[in-house]
Amino acid sequence: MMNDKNTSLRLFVERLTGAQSQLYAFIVSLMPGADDAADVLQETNKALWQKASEYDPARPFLPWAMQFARWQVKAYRKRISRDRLVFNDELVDQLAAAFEHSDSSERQLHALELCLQKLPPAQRALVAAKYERDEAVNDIAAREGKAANAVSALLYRIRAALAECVERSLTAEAR
Amino acid sequence: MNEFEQLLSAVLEGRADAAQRQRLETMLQESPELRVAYVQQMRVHALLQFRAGVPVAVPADAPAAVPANVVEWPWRSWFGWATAAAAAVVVVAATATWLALRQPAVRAQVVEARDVAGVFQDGQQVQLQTLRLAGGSVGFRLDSGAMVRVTGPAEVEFVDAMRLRVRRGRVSADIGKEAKGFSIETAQARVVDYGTKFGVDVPDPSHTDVIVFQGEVRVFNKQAPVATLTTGEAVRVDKSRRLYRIVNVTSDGREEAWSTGGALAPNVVITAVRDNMEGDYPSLRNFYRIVPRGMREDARAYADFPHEWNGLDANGIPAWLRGADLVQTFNADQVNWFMELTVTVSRPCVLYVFADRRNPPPTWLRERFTDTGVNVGWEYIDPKNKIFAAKWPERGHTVFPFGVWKLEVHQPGEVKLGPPYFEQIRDPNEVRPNWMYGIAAKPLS
Repeated sequence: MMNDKNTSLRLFVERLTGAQSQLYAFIVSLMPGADDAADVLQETNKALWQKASEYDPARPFLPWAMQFARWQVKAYRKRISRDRLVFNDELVDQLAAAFEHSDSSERQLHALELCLQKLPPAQRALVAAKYERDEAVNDIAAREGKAANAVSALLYRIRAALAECVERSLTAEAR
Repeated sequence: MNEFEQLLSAVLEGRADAAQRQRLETMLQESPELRVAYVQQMRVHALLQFRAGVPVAVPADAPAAVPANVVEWPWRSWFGWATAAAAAVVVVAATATWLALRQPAVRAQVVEARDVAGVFQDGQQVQLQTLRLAGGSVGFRLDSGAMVRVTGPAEVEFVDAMRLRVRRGRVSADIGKEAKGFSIETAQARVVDYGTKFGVDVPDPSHTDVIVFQGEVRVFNKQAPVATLTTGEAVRVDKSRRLYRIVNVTSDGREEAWSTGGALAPNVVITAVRDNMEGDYPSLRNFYRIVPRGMREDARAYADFPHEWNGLDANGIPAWLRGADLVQTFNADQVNWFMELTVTVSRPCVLYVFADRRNPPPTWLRERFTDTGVNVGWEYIDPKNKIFAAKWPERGHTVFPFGVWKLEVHQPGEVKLGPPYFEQIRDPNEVRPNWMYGIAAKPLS
């Protein structure tokens, strides 16, 4: 009995750990541009942990966990009434469907790492400036002598290229 | 860029207004193709953020229930499970503080005022909002239990009993268990504490120095953690929020009196210590702490451990060694055979190295230094149990003899030291006594 309990707890923790980046991506997508996605993820983890005993290892983890994330995003929307930082429920439903099937955090991050290495050095440097050093697009543009718009456009294209590359390598791996 | 791309970029870069958000929302609701593009973009955006470090964790009761070996963070591992779990609580607590109604002022008691011309007196109860100090220093005990010392010139805003904003000046904090989650913000960083003695210095608006003397803090850049610092580690965060190792911290032995900008006291013998380790360990953040005239009974031996130097018998540390400038070294690197330390001395001096007698001496030490034949005691102090009073051998404490080696240096300049081992350690799992040596110096009379 003890063993069963331990096994399901272990599975729960493994799956919770393995779902972190997907949950984060989901939350970020529901409240794009808001600074507090990490906090909402914390709250989601906390809520999930409290319900750990109710998790049935036979059920897929991510859709279950995403429900919690949605509640937490809603709770967040109630807390901050000052701005429209969170999408409406209808759109949230539409987006949720797209997130339910995705690879584990580990595999996604591994694929991303390989894809980043394939980027031209200048693009990799731009990714590092924006995402690792958290530099503002305006600052990057000023430093490089480019229009801010051009930097935004390039970042968009890089993300699109990375998305395709990650998808391709995960599909290839699955075969 | 088309309209969707422009809107998405504006939202992701935090410059979208309400109308733009509304427009993006409408477009997404109307177009399945745009939703696909959106999800693609957001996934990569989130993964890139995640990869750079998002403070994610499960709550505090998790580690108790989960065997530690079950869990490995699949991404670049900033923190172990236990610390990550503790982080959750702190991040939540910090958010709650942020949302709470702001108190008009923070109540505090003056603990120790120095050179502030009677503005503050010890024991005085004060209400703090923004504190400006031209010079001197004042210690406060806040309602949260946190002890903070502000050294001028300084401008510090007391946001609440758990949170300070430092615009300028040096703040040392000693955070008890009850004030875990205490944070200090500057223009470059937010430092969240985990029950620690730590310091933050903003000497000018261009950078922030963060130093941990005991315990652990996390340094955040906006929401994302950029560093976890533990005992004996320090970083400088510059204007573009890049991190640099701080190699030297000088102090007069009191925890709150420290400087990253050189000596506080006149006539110091050892002015700097540097090493060659950063090439091999780019994330190395350990500092050497130089304590002028710091060699005494129970002097702290390392910046990263609370172990101590003391005498091996009732006479204590030999009189000729007492009052020497002391360098607290560190043990971050247990197997680095290529380690080289460069000690800068300001005057002719006798340079001492304390090396573990349980090992044969390293060749460089045997060839260039003279063994005085004298030993000092190296006392193991459990980092978790910082009760420093007990003495070996009466109370069964662990003390090992470290031999005192000396070298007369006749010119101001640099002296190179090697690794603490007598032979290369090829198996990192091999267990052998390889504690780092100590360094001290006295002027040559």
